[in-house]
Amino acid sequence: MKSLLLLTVFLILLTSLCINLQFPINVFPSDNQTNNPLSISSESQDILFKVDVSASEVKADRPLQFFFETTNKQGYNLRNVAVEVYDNPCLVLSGSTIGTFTNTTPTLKANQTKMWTLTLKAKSLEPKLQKNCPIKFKFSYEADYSLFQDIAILSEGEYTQRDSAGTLGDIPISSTSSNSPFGVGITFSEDQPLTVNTDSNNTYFMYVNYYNNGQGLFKSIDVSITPSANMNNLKCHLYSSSGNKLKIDSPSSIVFIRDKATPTTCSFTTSDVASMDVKSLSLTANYKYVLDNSITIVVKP
Amino acid sequence: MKKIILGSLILVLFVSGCIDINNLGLSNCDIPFICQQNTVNVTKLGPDILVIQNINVIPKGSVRPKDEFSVYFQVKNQEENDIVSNVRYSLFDTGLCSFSGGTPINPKTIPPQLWDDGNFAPAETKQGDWSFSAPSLEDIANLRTVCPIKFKITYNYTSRSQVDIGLIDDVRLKELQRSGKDVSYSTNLNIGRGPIKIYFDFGGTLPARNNSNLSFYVRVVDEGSGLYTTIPKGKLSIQAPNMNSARPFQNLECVSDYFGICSQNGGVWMCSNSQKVIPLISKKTFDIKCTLETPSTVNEEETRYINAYLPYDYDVIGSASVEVKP
Repeated sequence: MKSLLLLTVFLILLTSLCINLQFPINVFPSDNQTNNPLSISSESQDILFKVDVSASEVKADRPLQFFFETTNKQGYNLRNVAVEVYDNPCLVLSGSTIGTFTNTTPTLKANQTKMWTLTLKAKSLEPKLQKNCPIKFKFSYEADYSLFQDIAILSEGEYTQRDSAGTLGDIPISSTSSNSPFGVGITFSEDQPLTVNTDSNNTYFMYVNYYNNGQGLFKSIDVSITPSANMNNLKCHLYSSSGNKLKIDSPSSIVFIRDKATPTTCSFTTSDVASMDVKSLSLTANYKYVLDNSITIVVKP
Repeated sequence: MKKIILGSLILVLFVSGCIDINNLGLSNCDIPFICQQNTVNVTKLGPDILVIQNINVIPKGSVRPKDEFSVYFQVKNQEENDIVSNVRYSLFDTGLCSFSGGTPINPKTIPPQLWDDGNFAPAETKQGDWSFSAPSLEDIANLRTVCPIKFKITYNYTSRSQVDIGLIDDVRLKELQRSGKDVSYSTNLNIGRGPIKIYFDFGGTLPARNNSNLSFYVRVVDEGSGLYTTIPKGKLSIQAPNMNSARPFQNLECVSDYFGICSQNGGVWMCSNSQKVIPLISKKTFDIKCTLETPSTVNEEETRYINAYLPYDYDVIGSASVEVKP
């Protein structure tokens, strides 16, 4: 009896999910009955882009206003902050030219917010039918990234002594980096701390792992690695030596598949240290990041 | 306990009666075309352009032999934006009753006359008011009879449809695919008002890549109460506006037996059925296949449109009946 009751209640619940009750009066106005302003936003760890459009519907030959707001969320400057309206088949700036519209701010200072407006006119397009017009936005900017990774080198004697005492884990090895859509994680062929290795035929390996921590796409990433003072002969695949640094050969060589790119493999030897030496490797990058978003407006004839 | 079970079952039956099958995600297959491969948002305006409404016979009920009676009716233009032109009227059946006057004048003339200047402004309503004489007692042989009053309103209209297509640059497509982002395209099909509807469907997935061939199909369907059997030569026009002169479409081709060679004129690729009349069988044409060669380059992602136009004449019939009692 209980199972029958349970089955009945389950049937009621299942059936009720499919119900489309036809109320004679629209109690709640639906979105397509109103001409509300539209708002979209895109953001990364660095920046917030916001676009408000004065109306979701516009008659042909009437203006439509766009309000743009860009906020630098970082405590440092961002460069070439640009908003591009790149696919807008129904809107024109003046005359009848359909094109892209771009606004670029060369420097957006730390925590600064910039606002501007753009007025476009809905184009009267044949045939005279109500159209759903997509408007696509591309938000781009350039920013810097930095990472400091401690490299701890121990002499063989020190390593053995600490290993016996169980104090290898007490060595402070830190890694600090910017909060950014570009992320780097450095790993080694052996766990830190490393022991002294001056043999160029039997090097340590370092792996530079790249991550896309945001929703956008990287257009270019220029990476430089400055080895720590206790690293010698640092060589990285697709990087070339430039003074005391290694610079990536091409800003487009880091290709992300989903949110990860192929790690860079580096080889190095260490300095000959007396007991223990902890020094920092630094990695800096400047990157161009692009976020996409779109809205759809209705153009009425 | 039994009462609870019985009550629950009744509730299930009661609620299940409210389910609207059309709203169970099948809407794209409801339109008279093959089910779409791409997500298509269809916006379709109503099938009526001119409607005959509020037909009234005065006096109400029956009339006696030789009595006068009047038929009033309204003709409304349902189109909110366009003037409907070349509107004509004709009274083609009055039975044993005879037309005696009224407006619009001379409805029994052949060919049908223009109603005023023939134009109906957007949402305009015009009234007709015709008087008739019932037949004499001798004419009806002293028997009850019914006079049918049948008239038709003929108008010119152009069926319009527009579908948007997404174009994507190869590099951009690769970039989006690599990043794991969704590259599907949801297209909007806008079908204008009128009984003759033009539908589009695509032979491949959207967005279409630059420098590729995009196949699409066009089908004309008569969804009105009238009869539209053939599309005369040169009337159905399929157009692909370049929209950007720097990145034009490279070619447009439609089935050659009917359409001949398509041409580019004023930045618009155009094809019309210049070679043959297209028949409507069971109120619809066959699927007319066209191929659009996309621009050689695309600015990352672009939205373009394909349009179709079909000017036609259409009749709407109005009727009333008047009982004549001896």
